[in-house]
Amino acid sequence: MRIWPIVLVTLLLFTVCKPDVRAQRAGNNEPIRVGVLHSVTGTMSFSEQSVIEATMLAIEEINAAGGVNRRQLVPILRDGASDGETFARKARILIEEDKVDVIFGCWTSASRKSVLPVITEHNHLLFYPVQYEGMEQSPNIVYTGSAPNQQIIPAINWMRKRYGEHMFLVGSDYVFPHAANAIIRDQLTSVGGSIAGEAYVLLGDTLVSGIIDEILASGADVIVNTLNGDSNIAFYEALRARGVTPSHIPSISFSITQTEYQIMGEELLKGDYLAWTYFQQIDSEANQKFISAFRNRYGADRVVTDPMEAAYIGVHLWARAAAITRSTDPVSVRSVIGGLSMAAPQGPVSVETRNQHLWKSVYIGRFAANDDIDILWSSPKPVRPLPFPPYRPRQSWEYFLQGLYESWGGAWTNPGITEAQP
Amino acid sequence: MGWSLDKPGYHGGTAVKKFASIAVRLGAFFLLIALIPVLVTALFSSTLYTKTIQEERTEALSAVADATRDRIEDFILTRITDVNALSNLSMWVNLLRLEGENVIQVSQAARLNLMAYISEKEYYDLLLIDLDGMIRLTVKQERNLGLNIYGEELNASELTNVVDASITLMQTEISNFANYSPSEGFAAFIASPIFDEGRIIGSIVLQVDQGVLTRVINRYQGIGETGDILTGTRIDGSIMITTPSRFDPDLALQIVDEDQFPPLTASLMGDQGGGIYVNHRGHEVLAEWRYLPSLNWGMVVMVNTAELYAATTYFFGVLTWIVFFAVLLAIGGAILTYKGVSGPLVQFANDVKSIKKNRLPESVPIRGRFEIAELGKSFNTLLSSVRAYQSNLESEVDSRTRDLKEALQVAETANRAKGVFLATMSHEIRTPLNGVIGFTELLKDTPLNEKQRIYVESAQVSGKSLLRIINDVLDISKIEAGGLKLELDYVDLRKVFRESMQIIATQAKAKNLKLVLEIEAGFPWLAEVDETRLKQVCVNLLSNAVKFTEHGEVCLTVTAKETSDGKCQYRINVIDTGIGIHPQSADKLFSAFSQADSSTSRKYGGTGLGLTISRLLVEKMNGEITLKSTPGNGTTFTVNFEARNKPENTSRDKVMINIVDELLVGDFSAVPLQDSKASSKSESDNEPTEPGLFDTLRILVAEDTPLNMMLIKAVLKARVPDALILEAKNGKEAVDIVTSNTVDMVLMDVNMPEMDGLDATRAIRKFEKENVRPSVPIVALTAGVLVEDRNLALESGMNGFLTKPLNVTELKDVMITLLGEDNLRFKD
Repeated sequence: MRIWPIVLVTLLLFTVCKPDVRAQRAGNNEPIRVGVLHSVTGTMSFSEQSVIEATMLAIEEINAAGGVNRRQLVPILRDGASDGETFARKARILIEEDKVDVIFGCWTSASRKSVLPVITEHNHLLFYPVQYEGMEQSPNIVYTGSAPNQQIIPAINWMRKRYGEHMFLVGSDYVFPHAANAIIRDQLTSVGGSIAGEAYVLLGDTLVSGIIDEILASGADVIVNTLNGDSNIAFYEALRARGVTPSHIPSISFSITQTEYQIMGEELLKGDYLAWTYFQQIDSEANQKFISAFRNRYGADRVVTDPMEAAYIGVHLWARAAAITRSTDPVSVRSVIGGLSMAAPQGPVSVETRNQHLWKSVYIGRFAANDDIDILWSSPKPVRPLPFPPYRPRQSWEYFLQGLYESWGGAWTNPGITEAQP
Repeated sequence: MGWSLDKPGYHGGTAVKKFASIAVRLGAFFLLIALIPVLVTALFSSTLYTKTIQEERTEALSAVADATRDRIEDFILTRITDVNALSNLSMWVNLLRLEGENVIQVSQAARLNLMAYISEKEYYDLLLIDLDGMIRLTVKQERNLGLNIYGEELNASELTNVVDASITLMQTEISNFANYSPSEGFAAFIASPIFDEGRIIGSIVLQVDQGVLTRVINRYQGIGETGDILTGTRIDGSIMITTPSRFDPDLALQIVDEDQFPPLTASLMGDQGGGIYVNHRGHEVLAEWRYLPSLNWGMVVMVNTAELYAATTYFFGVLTWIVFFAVLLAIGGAILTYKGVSGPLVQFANDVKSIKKNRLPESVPIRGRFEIAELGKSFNTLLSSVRAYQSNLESEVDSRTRDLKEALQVAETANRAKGVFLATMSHEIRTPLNGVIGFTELLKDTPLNEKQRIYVESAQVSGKSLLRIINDVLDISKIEAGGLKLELDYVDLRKVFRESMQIIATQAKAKNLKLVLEIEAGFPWLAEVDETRLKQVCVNLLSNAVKFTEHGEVCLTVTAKETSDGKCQYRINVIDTGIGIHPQSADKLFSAFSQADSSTSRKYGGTGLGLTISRLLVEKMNGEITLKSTPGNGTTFTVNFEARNKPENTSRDKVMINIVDELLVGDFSAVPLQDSKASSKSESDNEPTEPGLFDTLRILVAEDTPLNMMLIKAVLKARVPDALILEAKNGKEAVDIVTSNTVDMVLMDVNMPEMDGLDATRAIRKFEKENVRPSVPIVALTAGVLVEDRNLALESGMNGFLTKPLNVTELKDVMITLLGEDNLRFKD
């Protein structure tokens, strides 16, 4: 009697039929394709490069932990080339040709607003990692940067209480500074403050001397700076050249991170203020872990900034949502992203179900010696994200933005043509 | 005929056999076949079920946690929206625009409206606070009315904080729950700034009672009997439980050790997740934790795993019983199979096994059905036919055995009689023979002329020859009759071999053969043997070797090998360089009266008894004798026997090779007959036949044996002195002589080489007939004394018959009869 074959068959049966519910459900072991859409070239590439790095770090961490639903993530990087149209085109390629399940990308509001129609058209999903002017709320975007009430409003209030209510607003001539300044105007009005002046510089422009004159003439207590990119260097050089120091007229910047501080140096910025929802200096276990992971990966001398942390959070939140819904389908992920929270480097963050922005903590810092930043204030708890400042109806904000868009000839940045016209 | 069976019990001795039995194999197979699917299914389903249940429960609990979180968030958000909407009412601006910093007095109706609103919405109170921080209006009109939030009592209270926060952020904010002294209880505040044309002029604040939120939170739907929901928040770095626990209401508002609430700690850091841990009450729970952003609280929903997996436990219990019963069923099935098939077969096999060979039962019972019953029936049919055959066979065997026994008795009696006869005869023959030998010996010492001396010596040799033959025959009959006893004693074997060599030395010297004795080094020479018999064997073999060897040497080699305590295996080789023996003939060689072929015996003489005796003796010594030979290349006889030896006497001599030349004794200067050829030649040369008076009487003697020839010639010369004697060494020569000469009479030996006497006679008669010549009288001379021999001789054409040894009287009679008395002068 041959007993051994039967025993063998039995063992085989055990091996084959070993119940593994999860494996049966997952079924698919194909890698998950995720899009990374940032400027690798052009004026924004300097800022966006570090965001790409933070995004990739998070993807690598997730893969190292076994991927999402036992599937590895394969990032596909497309270059938006600092140009709105290119961003839109590349977003389309990522969705239609690369068949990605999610896109992590964009920096400027201009690029985001260019990409939004493509994302909406495909009912897809974008994780946007940068602080912005708000006044937008798309079910297809998860905003992991801060809304105006998480950066601008607390910071203006803090400056107002310390240095006075007469503020000069200077910014680059595109949608974020305009929107931010509109909010600041409202805010100063609400507390009885006043606008000392308001000036815009074309993106990348360095013609700032006229503005310095205006500021000095206005007798402003505080300079509110929403300049982006190289204009900042020209502006602060001109300001310092005219003998304006933080003790004379302090400024608060909303688009300068520690990275820019390293380049511009103490002589231009030390003593001035900045507001973010994340600083590298935050003392928490999660932040130490994040910084050391980043530095292990990209270099010990690297600094980590707010948009990088937001990008990092975004990838992890998406992965958790995909794990919860057991799918990477954009619609499925969006269905569970609301209410999702995580222990982020900055502290607890949570996705607000109603607008897919994050509850975030707010920090106000001052440029300090050794390219460091002193954190002077932080919100006692995470602040509810309100992309549309509630004291005005939502339609009012939308109307305001539409006006800007139309005044720039259907663009989110002032193309500069108006200047040539009389 | 009765039959018996061994007791068909299952005693210990059959255990091994039982294991290898078909029953056990079948039972094991049955169990395996039956149990494997059951066990596989059980294992598979239990694993699947457990996993499914766990996953399902985890997911369900996760859903409960999500629902609870969303419920709380919705509750807060609804309150915030309420306050937000409330703050947009223009009435607050109007109220605050009222001059003065005094408490606002509203109409009773308005206050009741507000009261209705807040109680409807489950708020505790409504506060209107101006930009300076003064509480200008409350609905409840408690102690706080008119107080300033930046004043001593309220500064740094949750109320102050939330009003500040709402103005700073220009949005509606909710405070933490904390003890609020004016209300003497725990309360949270929802504050919203009041805008007057873009400017903030104050805040509207709604006070929320802790109990309302507790009710929203503590809904234990979907978390069973042991489920609980805990919330907590960080107060100055420590964790405080914010809502009453289901099983421990006093836990609310307690600062707790965060090590006991790891899920709360995790959720307060923003983490959300699930897992199994041991909770603060020491129960193992499945927990899901969530972060509540609106309150900045952590929340954990937990259920005892015991309750959660009760279904699994129950399932395991049921499954265990199912498996248990399946095993029982399978075992039952196996037993039934055993009873139905294997049992009867095993019983049957035992019954068949225990049948006594010589006592077949009439039938073997089998308790089975269907094929097994068939098997039993077939077996019993076979059994009965075997029994029939056996009984027939038995009677036949009995009668045959009886016959054989009788025949054997007859044969044995005859054999014994033969032995006795032979012994007696030998004895009777020996007595006169000894006389002959003795007297010839005596005669030898008397003065004799040369011729006489040769005759006497020849007579003596013949006598001794005869004596030896008789001794041999006696030996054989003695041995065969079982009368030979070995006389064992410790003997120096070297001496035995040396003496054996000496005995045949003369023979060897005569043929110019070299004798060699080789004895191994360290040969255990003191062995317990019968010296006489061993020597006899050696001499026989050596003499045999010498006899059949014309050139070269005869070698005796001896080796010994120790076999066991005090015993040695001895091996004696007798190697010659003689004519060799054909393998076919080798077997017959050791039988009595047998030589390799009859012509050999003619040529070399001898009875052939020597080897027979040697074989019998060696067998008596429990040894064996073999031979190896290639015709033309010599023969090796080997004797193997075992004998006790005394090892202490083992020779430590060097290799002892004795070239036996030096041992040769005596020097036979006058050897009567060296070999047949030489003798016949010398005979004819040295002794020309003298012509007698009766010249005409010519007698031909055909005889191959020189001695016989001489004897016959001597007799004829003595009795018929005037006869001319012609000699022929064989039949052929005889025929030649008769056909070419005139011969008056032929004395013809029957056994001769080349052509025997009978053939020669026939040839002569044929010749005479063809040539019309008168037939010459031919008289047979033979050692055979039987009637057959005589008949054969007469048939061949012979006229007379004489036996050896030649009897003078008979010779005379025959000669007178054949030649006539007148023609014969016979000396008496």
